[in-house]
Amino acid sequence: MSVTDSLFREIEAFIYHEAELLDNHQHNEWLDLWDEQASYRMPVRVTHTKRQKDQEFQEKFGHFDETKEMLGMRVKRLSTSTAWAEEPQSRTRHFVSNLRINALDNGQYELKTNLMLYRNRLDDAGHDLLSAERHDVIHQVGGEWRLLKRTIYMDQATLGTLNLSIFL
Amino acid sequence: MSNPNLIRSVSEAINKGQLPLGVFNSPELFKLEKEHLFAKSWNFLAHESEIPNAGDYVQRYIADDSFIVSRDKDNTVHVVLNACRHRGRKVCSVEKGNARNFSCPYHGWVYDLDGKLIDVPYEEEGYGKNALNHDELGLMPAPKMGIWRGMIFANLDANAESLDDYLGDAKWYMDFYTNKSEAGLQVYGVPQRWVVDADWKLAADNFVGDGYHTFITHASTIQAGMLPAQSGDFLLDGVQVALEHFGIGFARQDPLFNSLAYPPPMMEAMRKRFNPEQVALMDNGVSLPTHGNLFPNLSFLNAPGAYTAMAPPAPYMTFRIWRPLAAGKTEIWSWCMVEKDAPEEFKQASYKAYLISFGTSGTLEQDDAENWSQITLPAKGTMASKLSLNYSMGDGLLEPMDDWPGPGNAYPLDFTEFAQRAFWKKWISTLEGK
Repeated sequence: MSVTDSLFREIEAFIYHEAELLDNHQHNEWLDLWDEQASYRMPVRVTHTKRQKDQEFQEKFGHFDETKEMLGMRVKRLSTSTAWAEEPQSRTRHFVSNLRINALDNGQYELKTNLMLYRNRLDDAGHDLLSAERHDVIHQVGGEWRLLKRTIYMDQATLGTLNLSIFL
Repeated sequence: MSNPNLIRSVSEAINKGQLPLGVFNSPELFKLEKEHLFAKSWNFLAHESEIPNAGDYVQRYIADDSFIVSRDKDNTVHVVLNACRHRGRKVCSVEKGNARNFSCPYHGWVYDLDGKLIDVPYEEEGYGKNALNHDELGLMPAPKMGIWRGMIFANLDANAESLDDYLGDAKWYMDFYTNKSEAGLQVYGVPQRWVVDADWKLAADNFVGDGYHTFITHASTIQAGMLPAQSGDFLLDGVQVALEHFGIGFARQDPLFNSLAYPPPMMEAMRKRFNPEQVALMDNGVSLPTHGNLFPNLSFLNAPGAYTAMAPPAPYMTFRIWRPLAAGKTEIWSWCMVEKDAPEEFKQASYKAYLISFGTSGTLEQDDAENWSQITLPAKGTMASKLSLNYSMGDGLLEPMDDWPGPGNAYPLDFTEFAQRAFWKKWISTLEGK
C-alpha cells in the first residue's frame, strides 16, 4: 500500500536523520532509534550460478545478526578509548537513496533504500565503497519512529573493507 | 638485494631472535613464498560438511591457484585445478553449488565431477576420430590431497610427505578442536571472506603464540562484556606449546576459560573421547586450548563469547585461512565451526558468540586486523623495513615443562614467544628449501 506525500517526506527525513547520527558517530542516539525487539542483519552473500541464485544470501548466517542487546554491546565498546579499529574513527558518509515505502496493515512500514557508504581512515587518500540494498521495517512507538528490522543485502560476496566496525 | 642474499640475511636475523620488519611487506619475499612455501605446504581448503551431497562443490584457493573441491557420485572428494585443459578458462566461476558436471563456457569442453574429460564439442571434425586422449586431458588433480577429520587439504608438491605424516604430533592437539564429539564438526553457514591490507604472516604469528596482546588489543571487548574474561591477561599463566610446524595456547587461571564455556554434559562427552593423557591436561587445571596455528596459514580459535545477559557465555570455534594475495595483502577466510550433533539452540548461541567476537564484524577480529595493517603499511619504509623486531620473550627465562603429557615443548606461560620463534624458523627454513 502506498503512502501520502507528507508521510513519505516524514519517513524520508527519519532515514536521513538516522544516517546523520551514524556519520556523526552519535552511536547512543542511533541506538535509541531501535525498537527493543530490533533485528539487524547482514546475510553473507555467496556467488552462485543463476540457476541456484535463490541460495545466494545465507538466511541463517550473517556478517551481522544482531539483537538490540548485541548492538548495544558494540556501541558500548565504541565508547571506550581502546576500540582500536575506530581509534581514530572512520570517516563515513551514508548516501541513502531510492526510498520505496510499503504500508502494511499492522501499522508497520516496509522500506527499501539503496546505500552507498564511503569510508576513509587515517591519512590514506583512498577509500572503501560499500554498496547495498537495505530492507527496513519501521513503526511508531509513542509518536516516535523506531527501526524494528533491517536486512542489509551487500553488493559484494568478498567484502572490500578491513572490518565492519561501522554500521550500515 | 638478490634472493639468496635476502634469504640469508633474514635467516641470520631470525637465528639471533630478531626479525626485520620488512618481511611483512616485501614483493620479493611474497614471490618466494608463493613458489617455495605455499606450493610446497599442506593447504587447508574446505571441510567435508561444506559439500555433503553428490555433485556439491566449492571453489577454493591456494594463493592464486583456484581449485574445485567436489564430491562425486561415489561420495569421493576430489581437488582439481579450476582451469580448462584447452585454453585455461575457469570452468567454475562461482563459490559454491551443485552440478552434474563442469562445462567450459569458451569452447564447451565438459568435465565430470572427478575432473575427467567427458565431452569435446566437434571433436571428430576438429581433431579427428579418437585423436584426443581424454584420459590425459582431465582437469589437473592437485598433486596431493588428504582429508583428516573432515578437513580437506591439498599440496602442490607431488613429492610432499603425506598429510598424516605432516600433521604428525600436531594431531594430538588438533584433537581438542576436532574430536570433541562422535559426529565431529560442521561448518555453520559459509566462510566469511574479506580483504585486508595486512601480511598473512602477522595473522599466523598472532594465532600461533601471541597470548600477550589480549589485555591491551582487546581491552574494549573485555570492557564491553563480549569477552567474558576475569581480566585482560587471561592467558598470562597459561601454557604455550611449540612444535616445529604448530603452536597452541592454553589458559589456566580463569575458570570460564578452563571449559571455554562448554556446558558440563559436553565436557563429560569430550572426556570419553579424549585419550588419558589429554584428559590429564583437563584434570590438571589447564583449559581446553584456545589459539593455535598449523604452518603455514591455518589458524584455530576456541573461546567463550558473551552476546546476551539472558544466557551464559557460549563457546565458539573458528578455523581461518590467511590467503596471501600480494605483498602486504591478505584475504581472510573465516569459518564458524560447531559440533554437528549439538542441539540447535547450542549452535545458535555458538554462532552469535562467534559473530560478535570474530569474523568480519567480530570486535576481537577488528582490533587484531587494525594492528596488523598498522604494521604492514609502514613495513615498506626504507628505514622501517630494516627495523629489527624483538622476538626474545621467554628465551633464557623458561624451560620446557617436564611433566607435560603432550608432544612438543610446553612452557608454563602463554605470555611468551616460543611458538612464534618456531613459526619463523619453519618459515625461513621452508624458503631455504630445507
